Amino acid sequence: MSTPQPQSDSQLAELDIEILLRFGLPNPGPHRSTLFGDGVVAAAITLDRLGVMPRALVFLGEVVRSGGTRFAAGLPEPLPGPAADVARGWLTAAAMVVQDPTGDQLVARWLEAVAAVLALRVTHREANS
Amino acid sequence: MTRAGQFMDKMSDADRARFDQLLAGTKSAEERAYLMKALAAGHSYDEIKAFDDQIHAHGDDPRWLTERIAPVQLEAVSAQTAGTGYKGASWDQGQHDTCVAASTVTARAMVDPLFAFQLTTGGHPDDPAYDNGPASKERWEKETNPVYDTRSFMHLWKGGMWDWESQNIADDEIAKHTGAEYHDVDLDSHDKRQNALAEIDQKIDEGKPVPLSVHGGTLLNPHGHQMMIIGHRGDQLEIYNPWGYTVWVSESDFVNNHMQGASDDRHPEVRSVRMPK
Repeated sequence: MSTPQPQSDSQLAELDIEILLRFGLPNPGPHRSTLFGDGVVAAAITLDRLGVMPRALVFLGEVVRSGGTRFAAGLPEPLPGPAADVARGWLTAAAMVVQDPTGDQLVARWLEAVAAVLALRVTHREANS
Repeated sequence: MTRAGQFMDKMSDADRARFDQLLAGTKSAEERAYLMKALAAGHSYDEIKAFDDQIHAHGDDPRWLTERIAPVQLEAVSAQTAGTGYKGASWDQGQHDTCVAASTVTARAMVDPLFAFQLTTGGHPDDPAYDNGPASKERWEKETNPVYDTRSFMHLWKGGMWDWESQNIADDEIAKHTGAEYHDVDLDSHDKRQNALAEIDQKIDEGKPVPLSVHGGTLLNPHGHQMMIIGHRGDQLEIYNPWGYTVWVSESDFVNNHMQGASDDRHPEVRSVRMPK
């Protein structure tokens, strides 16, 4: 098996996260792995650039767990400020393929994984500023 | 109620029987409805039972229940706005920057009765020190606050009771930001690193990235760095380095402390991982 190639933040930021969600959520397998690997980092970079804090993602994950992905996609401001439209796009894409609480749980876990990578970026930056 | 039904289908037979028993013991249709709503919000039987233990004494008082569990009232004149608050204290964010939008906090309170009840009562219904308007507003503001330590709410619900004090969590910067629970696993030997791989792979498969500490240097000139394991494929681990890239390292390099490829020559050794729970 060949070794996958490293990718820079700028390359990862180009990934289409809506597509990754639509293909990665329905079934386990390589698309799911990409969604929870490179897709998580791509989302964290995108949101970091928009000034989102990790806690906002964790909170959104709780909303997804409580009300479902479709409910969260209908929120006026799922993430604060300019990240609202981005998050709504992701949630709308996820809602197309998620049909039940098990799927909502997966979406919530993906948001929490994004929060974890975002937290790593934030703490690294704080430690080196 | 569709979601409640879906969660009910996922319950074990024992929990289903206990939940039916809980519903049968309610004092009113309102109390019963809030328990069903808690189920629809994804709470476990134990969480719902503990919630009911706190509201059951007032189960025949719909006004008491509504005030504390459904504090969000859509205004009749405009479905676009929601008047939210508790005991005269209006929940509004003013002009402050927020971490979580006020409308999103309100939305969660609408769909999760346990969350709403925590906001209004602090988990201490009938205790005037907690169950009052200004205290509820303070709790609501904390939810929107950009500097609020996430752990304080994420770990309130312990052993079936609200507990502000039950936070025995290692000081961890990532956990401080996300509220996620981790336990440190020292990996200071070949065998420990080898043995940890299976659990790391399992966490990754569950969708939980694993924070990783690497180090090197000397006692007088130590170097340390934190990264995150985000994937695995075959015998390769995918690692995100906050210097700005993802990189793949072999499990052999991980086990044998040849980690400089993931960062640089200053950090060849694995120190520990923080295993997500």
